[in-house]
Amino acid sequence: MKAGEHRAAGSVYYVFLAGMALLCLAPVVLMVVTSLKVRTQIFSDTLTFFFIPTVSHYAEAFGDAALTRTLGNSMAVALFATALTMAAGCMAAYALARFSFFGRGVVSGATLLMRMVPPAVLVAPIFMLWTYQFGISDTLSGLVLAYTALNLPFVIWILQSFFAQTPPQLEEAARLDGANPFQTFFFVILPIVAPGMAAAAIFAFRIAWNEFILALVLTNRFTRTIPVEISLSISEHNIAWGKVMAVGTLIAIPPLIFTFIASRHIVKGLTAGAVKG
Amino acid sequence: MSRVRLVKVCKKFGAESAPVVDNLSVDMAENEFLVLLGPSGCGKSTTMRMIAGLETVSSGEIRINGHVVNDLEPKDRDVAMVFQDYALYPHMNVARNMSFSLRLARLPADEIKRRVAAAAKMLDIEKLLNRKPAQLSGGQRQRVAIGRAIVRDAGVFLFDEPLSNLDARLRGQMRDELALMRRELKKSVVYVTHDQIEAMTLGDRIVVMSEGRVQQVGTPEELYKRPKNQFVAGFIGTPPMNFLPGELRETERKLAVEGDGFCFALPGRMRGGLNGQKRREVVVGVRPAAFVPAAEGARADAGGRLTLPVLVSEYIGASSIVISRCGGRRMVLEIRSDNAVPAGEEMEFFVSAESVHLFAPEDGQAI
Repeated sequence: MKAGEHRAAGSVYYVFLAGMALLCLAPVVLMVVTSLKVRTQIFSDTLTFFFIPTVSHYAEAFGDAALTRTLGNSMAVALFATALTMAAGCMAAYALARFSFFGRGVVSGATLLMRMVPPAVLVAPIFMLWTYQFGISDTLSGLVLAYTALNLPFVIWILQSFFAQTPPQLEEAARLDGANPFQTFFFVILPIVAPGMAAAAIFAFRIAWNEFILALVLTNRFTRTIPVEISLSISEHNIAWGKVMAVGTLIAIPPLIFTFIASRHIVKGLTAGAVKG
Repeated sequence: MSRVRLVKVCKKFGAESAPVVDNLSVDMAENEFLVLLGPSGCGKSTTMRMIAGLETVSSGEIRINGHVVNDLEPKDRDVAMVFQDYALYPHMNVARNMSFSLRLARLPADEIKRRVAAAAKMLDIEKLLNRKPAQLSGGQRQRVAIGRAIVRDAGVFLFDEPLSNLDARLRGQMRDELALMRRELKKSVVYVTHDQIEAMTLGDRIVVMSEGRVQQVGTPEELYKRPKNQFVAGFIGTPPMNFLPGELRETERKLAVEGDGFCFALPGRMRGGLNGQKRREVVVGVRPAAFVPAAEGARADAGGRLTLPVLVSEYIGASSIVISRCGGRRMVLEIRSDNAVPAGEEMEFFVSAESVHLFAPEDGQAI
């Protein structure tokens, strides 16, 4: 009787879960399916899932020099921005978590505050500064700098709690073993917070890869990134659905790969065994 | 060859706060096993951390091998430390944990290998060298932590409550192994603990600390037999010493201490405690094991006999712990089990005059 009730409750639960999964996956499936259809099928009134797939849209996308260039731009910008964010972020977070200095609370709070401002608000000032002050608008490095600034507060905020959780005795043990502060940081502390680094890197990469508004304003047609490029395929007169969907599918792949690689480092309980809890 | 010397060492956290370690001076002999013993918060760990170089010294000097090391980095002090909670690097295997300091010092690879192998052999962890700390038991982790200190070949070893995280059985075993190991190593050891059994079994000398001050420095036997004050008397020995209020007085050239429910005759040499007066308030201390049941026969040096009610009798093997009451005060007695009497009955005891300790009630100093 009880087991039966359990099973009934369980099946309701699974139906609910399946519904949620469908809701999440349907747009993605539709995108991939559409990218593999020929033009007439895309505009047909009936939704078909059985058809002979074509890679013509992908061929078209890769044949488009502008598109492959923007893909390369996106990749370069996202990777460099992530690397720069992580390099600066991990050290800043460590300092905020470990050292007490004048203004630590203010700095720590300000990093979060920065995150509360939507990027759209920053577009105008950044554009003015990048163009007239620094002369780095329309360059990839300008965009990398903007993304690093955008992501740093968030990364610092995530990593700070990871650093705070590492037992200070490890640093003391390293000190006694003769490690200088940098050796302690790179050989002892950083490997322990690798899961946090991976999680933060995933976020940093995804935000840099997906970002649209700043990229739209800060790039020209040579330094454009892929989210901007794809938006240009949608004009008032024509929407190249097949190509848009194919490029959309392509855009989705790098973050997936990056996430899979990075998440391999997110192993729970890595500090287990360091000190007795 | 190394020795540690503390000269009037003080430690304050914040200029206005009370000192955590107050005017501490200890001179260690070469290759001595010195134990810092005291209740938690007595400043013993802080003292060790100052020796290690993990805390700054507010005033005073710390000398290692004759050199003042106050401003030296930990690595330059010729010390190795074993932490209370092991502090093993979780991402390195046992071998790499042990060799970390040697790799930082850029020693040749074969030398590193030799030292790690030697330490592993000594600690019987050769089979664990490729494991990560998470895959080790508490006792094994403790061995690795000790191994990490051994490979450095430092002159002074610092142990910060190394056994407190182990269960009772393992603690006893590791204690014995430490005692064996120190004979092999021939190094100076400073060992911090709050466990007086550890202190008594391991230490050549013990520094008893309370509230940042040294209460007494001495061999385990000195501390047990001739405690300098009431704190040391109560802290050393299990079960702890019984304290009773009493009065010391001299009548017809005979010295005696008397209180509610007891009267002990004392040897004449304790007369000095009277300071020339006729009588004086004192605190009488008697160790639980100093009570000898009358059934075992009267002793020549018996200072007195007293009859005590047995409230609780706890059989713990060779001996029994008897909880009793004397003049409204709780008493703990330790007697041989064959002489134990069931609870509810009365029992007669002799107390030898030599085992009666007297303390001044004002400051707790021994008389």
